[in-house]
Amino acid sequence: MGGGSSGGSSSRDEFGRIVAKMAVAQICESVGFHSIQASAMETLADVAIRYLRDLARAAHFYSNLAARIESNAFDLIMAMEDVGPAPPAADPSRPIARSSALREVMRFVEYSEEIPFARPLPRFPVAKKRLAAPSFAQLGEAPPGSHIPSWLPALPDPHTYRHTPVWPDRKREPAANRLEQARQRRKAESSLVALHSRLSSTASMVFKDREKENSGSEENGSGSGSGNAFLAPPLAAGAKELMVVQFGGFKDGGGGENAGVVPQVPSIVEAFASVVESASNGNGDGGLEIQDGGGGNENGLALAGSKGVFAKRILAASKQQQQQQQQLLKRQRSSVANAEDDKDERKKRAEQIITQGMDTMAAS
Amino acid sequence: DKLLVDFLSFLADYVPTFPDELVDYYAAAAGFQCSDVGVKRLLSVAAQKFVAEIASDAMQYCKMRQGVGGSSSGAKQQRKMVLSHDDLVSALKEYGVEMRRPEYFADTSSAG
Repeated sequence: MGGGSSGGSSSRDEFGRIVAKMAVAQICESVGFHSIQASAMETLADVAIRYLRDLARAAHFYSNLAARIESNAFDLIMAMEDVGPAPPAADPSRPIARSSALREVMRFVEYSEEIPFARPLPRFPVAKKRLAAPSFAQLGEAPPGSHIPSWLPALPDPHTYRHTPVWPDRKREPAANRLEQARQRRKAESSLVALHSRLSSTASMVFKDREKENSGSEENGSGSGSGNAFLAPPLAAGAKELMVVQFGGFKDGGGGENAGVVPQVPSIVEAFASVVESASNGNGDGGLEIQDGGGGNENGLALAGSKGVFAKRILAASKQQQQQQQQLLKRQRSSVANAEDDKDERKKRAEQIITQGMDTMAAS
Repeated sequence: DKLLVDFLSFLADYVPTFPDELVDYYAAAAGFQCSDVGVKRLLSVAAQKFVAEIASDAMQYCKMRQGVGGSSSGAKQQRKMVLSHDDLVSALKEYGVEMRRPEYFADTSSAG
């Protein structure tokens, strides 16, 4: 007999073994044991299962020998004689019903008390009901081709085997999307401005809302030439987001920027930092000015209610960014090769995406 | 013959320890096919008898090991009867099932 379970049937066998272990434990209890070692229980259960299978197998063999597929009691009794201890006198003329094995079993049943199994059991192994594929007739489809009868399962839907490209669902045009984003950003920034005005004593901030196109470094180079001297040339190439909020329209220092120059407004990360700085330094003059990216960026945009720890973290990040920006500025000034700028561009694009995400989070 | 028939009908009411579902599962695994409940219960009862015999033999071994000689005090009798692996191995040996258990498993650095 094959050695027990293997591979695929091990999971259903597991259940059978556990049930056998329980039954064996009950038998031992009836014999008088108080407890049983785990390894002994497993061994005994194993032996019991093997005995059961051996008996069944032998009975099956006997029935096959008699050209039957269904076994009956005689097959089983002969199997019991085979498996059990040898009868004292193997007498072929003795009728089977008098077999010693059978008599022993009968005696056993008489004298021992009934020990029903402790738990109710479902029929196992449980066969999963498989959903049959619907036929042509059930679906109401006409089978393609007259050679296909309608009771056969239907052909699969074309979407299961044909690949069609999936376009993102554009409810609005990209321009409208950008306008919407700008609007949301403005809303967020107006609330930030209100907050900041509460923080600082005088509220003279000028912010302009602008979107920075992801252009190359050339634009920045040109921007540095034509922009306001105080409103610094944009930092490094490209992708720094400009967070500018229109507020009351005064402090027109930024007015000069409008002319085709995209000043480098530091990202929202640095904005938080500046809030912290201004708050901690007691910056009284409403010091939210757009400064050189290389210097301290005090763009006081902070999310409403996000001071404190968040701001400190932002401060650290902003310092990092400042350093980065300084480096980039240096590089720009030394007019290095474009390859570096490409790398920076990519970095900035990533940062831009992050800040955009933060913006939409702030807006929503 | 009548005895057999009576016994089978008796078994139809008897509830063996090995549940019917378990017996059905393993019988089907071996190819044993039978529509008669009595025959399946006979199979189950035969297995139950087998296990009970082994268990009682192991019980004898257990008692021998505990030293039944002249047990005057009742405390000795009340000792917990645990079916240990060694007792089981000795009992199985009589039935022709040889088992040997390794003394230790050297799977951790602390063992052996």
